[in-house]
Amino acid sequence: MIAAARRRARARDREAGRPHTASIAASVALAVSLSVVGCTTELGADEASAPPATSAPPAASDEVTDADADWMAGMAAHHDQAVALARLADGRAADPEVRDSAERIATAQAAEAAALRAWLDRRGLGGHAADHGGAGMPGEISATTFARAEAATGAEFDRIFLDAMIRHHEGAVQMSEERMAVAGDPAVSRWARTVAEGQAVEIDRLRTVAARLPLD
Amino acid sequence: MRRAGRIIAGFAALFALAGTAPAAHAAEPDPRAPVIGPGLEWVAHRDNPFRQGDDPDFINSDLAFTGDHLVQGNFAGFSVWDIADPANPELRSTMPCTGGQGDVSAVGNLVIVSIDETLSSDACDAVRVPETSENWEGLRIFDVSDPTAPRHVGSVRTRCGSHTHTVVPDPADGSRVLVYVSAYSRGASLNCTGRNPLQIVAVPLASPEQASIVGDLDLFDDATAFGPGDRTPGGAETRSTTGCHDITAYPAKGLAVAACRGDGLLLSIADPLHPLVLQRVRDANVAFWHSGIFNNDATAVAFQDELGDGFINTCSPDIGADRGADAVWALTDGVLEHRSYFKIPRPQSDLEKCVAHSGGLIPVPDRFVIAQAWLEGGVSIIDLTDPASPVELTFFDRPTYGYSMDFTAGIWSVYFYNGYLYASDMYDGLEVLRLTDPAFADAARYTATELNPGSQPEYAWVWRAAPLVPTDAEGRAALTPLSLSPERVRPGASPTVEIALPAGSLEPGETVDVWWMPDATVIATVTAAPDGALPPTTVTAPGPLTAGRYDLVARGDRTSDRLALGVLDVTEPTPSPPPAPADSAGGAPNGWLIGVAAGALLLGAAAAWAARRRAKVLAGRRRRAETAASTQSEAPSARPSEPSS
Repeated sequence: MIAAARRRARARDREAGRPHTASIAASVALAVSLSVVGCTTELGADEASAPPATSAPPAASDEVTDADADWMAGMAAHHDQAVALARLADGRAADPEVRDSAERIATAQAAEAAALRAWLDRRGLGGHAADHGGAGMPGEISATTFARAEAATGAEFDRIFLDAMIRHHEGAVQMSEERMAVAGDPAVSRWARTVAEGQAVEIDRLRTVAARLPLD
Repeated sequence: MRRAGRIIAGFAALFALAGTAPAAHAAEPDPRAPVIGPGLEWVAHRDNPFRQGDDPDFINSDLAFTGDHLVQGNFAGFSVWDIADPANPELRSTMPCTGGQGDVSAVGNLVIVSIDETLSSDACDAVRVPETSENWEGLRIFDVSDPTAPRHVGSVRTRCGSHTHTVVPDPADGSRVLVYVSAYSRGASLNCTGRNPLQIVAVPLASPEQASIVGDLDLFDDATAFGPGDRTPGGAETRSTTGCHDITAYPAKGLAVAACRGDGLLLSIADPLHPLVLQRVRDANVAFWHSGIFNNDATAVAFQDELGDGFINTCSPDIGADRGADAVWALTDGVLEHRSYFKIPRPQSDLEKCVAHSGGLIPVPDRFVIAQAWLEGGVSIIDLTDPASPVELTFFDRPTYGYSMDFTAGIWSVYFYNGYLYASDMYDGLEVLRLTDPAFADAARYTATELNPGSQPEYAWVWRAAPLVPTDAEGRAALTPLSLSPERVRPGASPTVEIALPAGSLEPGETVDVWWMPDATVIATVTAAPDGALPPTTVTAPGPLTAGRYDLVARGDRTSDRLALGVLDVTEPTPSPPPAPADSAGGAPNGWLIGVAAGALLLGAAAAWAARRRAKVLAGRRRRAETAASTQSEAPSARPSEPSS
């Protein structure tokens, strides 16, 4: 029964009002013919039944909205920056809590970026790049800031790190907010929500450290 | 002490076994076959009846238990399993009802479900909608008095949905339960903004449709108030104190721990309608306070850190043992102090999601042992008795899917219920496991009638201590009479008697120990009949016995406040009135002539009776009974260590 009924239920569950959707076929073979055009992906639209869980990855049969793909790709790139800045802390940061935070951010966000990219790869969207409308990513860490951080040590590094990382995290929260405000896969909404929540908690923690450190 | 020694030995044996190859299932060709640690048996598996391939909208979440039924939450509804036979869980129903997380509790015939996604309505056929449209989220309540046909009987819309919830009894009103609703900010949300209060919902058990919010409580203080700088340009909050992820209540101790994302809170719930924050803690390594588990004495707490929210593998050398781990705290004089971290010692592939997740206490006396889920890291049984040095006892861990699941996957939660571990796997379904080490015998014997995540019962192992029998005649007379047959025996070697209690004396199915009070030992353990009777049971009193009166006590685990007392009269026969065989050792006191006569007659009757009850008594016991009856008066030597009255 259930497969068809549940597929219908699943279709119902999809949030309404997608701007552009692209159906992704369920066969690995079809993935070869995959083409990425801007933010819209076109593929053979056959819906296949979900394969059993084996060691072969089932091809995704989900419909992917632009907003979903943008958020996934954008957040992966955004995380890369956080990881790059955090990795500078080793040997430069003075405050132990800054070092701890940097280490946690570097490992956790690297892992999360990998998971986000795995999601894109499984849908043949590995090359997808988010469109920020010409502007940088929210909270983007500039090349100048990276250069300053790289040149700094001790308390000076700590300040640069905290300042840039807090703004960077705020940007991640904002990007996730923007995804949550539009339609897409509910599971991606849940993921966006957890990223926003996790980074907000981290911001709170970084602010607490910043408040404790001497001003200048 | 005797049992404590055995338990320590048991754990030692378990440690000694660690590292040996798993026994069962290892040879199966199934690439998803789990690796199973020592002392753990894989009893049953059931597929997730909602599963739709790798679609994350049909994953299982938390578990709740009521009587012989297990309720398994799902992002698309819930399942009801009959677990009367834990090795053979039978699916009674699946209730399709859209909405995650679907965290569940079970109270009698009611099932309470948390919904933390904005839906078009509270109805089960609702669809997910953006928060900007008209929407509903909160608690749904179902009646499962017919487990094959759950009925949606009530809903309560809460301010910010319900990520999880915690059932707490209302000491002032047994006709209802209180539900603490945990929810936190969703960002630039219409409803979930600022510091989300802990909302308290009262659910009248007889009229659940009248469930309503009866409390609204801010657990954070002015130090955590939001300033203008605590928002992104889009309006999302950037403070961690927007609400709690999960609350674990320990009502018997008047305590709760709240895991509130950036903070851990210790609460007094002595007045459950007005919880008070006793302590607020942070920890350098705990990124996301997810949940907590008390030990039975409420002298220690294990908090889980869900670093990465279940979307990454934290069980890797990169992330290390202190993050995404359990943070173990001592709780001394009402103050939490951090002691250690625990992470499962098996690094997981980066194709797997692994982080500390939900679990519960295993009621091992005098120890702090928990069963805990680690998503694709599986199930871990952890001994935290010394909060400073946690030790894993055993585990259950499936290998990777062979690819990285898109979203969180693996085992959501695991709980110990009436002798078995039940693990909820998001995609794969339900796993039933059993701890085989004798160290878990007392835990397995504990019988619960209900268990909910986040609401800890106080465990008491009443069978472990000898009953206290009143010494005054009045107190003794007030006890339930335990029928003995015979009531009188001759001095000499270990006599056998048959004991019984009439219907209604016990709770059906409860475990009953028969205590030989002179040396405070258990001489039989019996299961109460479905009508509450103690079935006639032949027991052997440790002898040889000298003349005197000896107490036997029958005590049910669940009716332990109602002792049944029987007195075995050991009397020298006298040669004169009865034609009893003259094999008495002689020199007996002469005050019991009539008693001896009756005793001898009863003995004969008992032997004959015992012989007739072939089907109900163990053959060995029957043989011993007959032997004992015929050799009753040989070698009276030892004295009862504590003759009664």
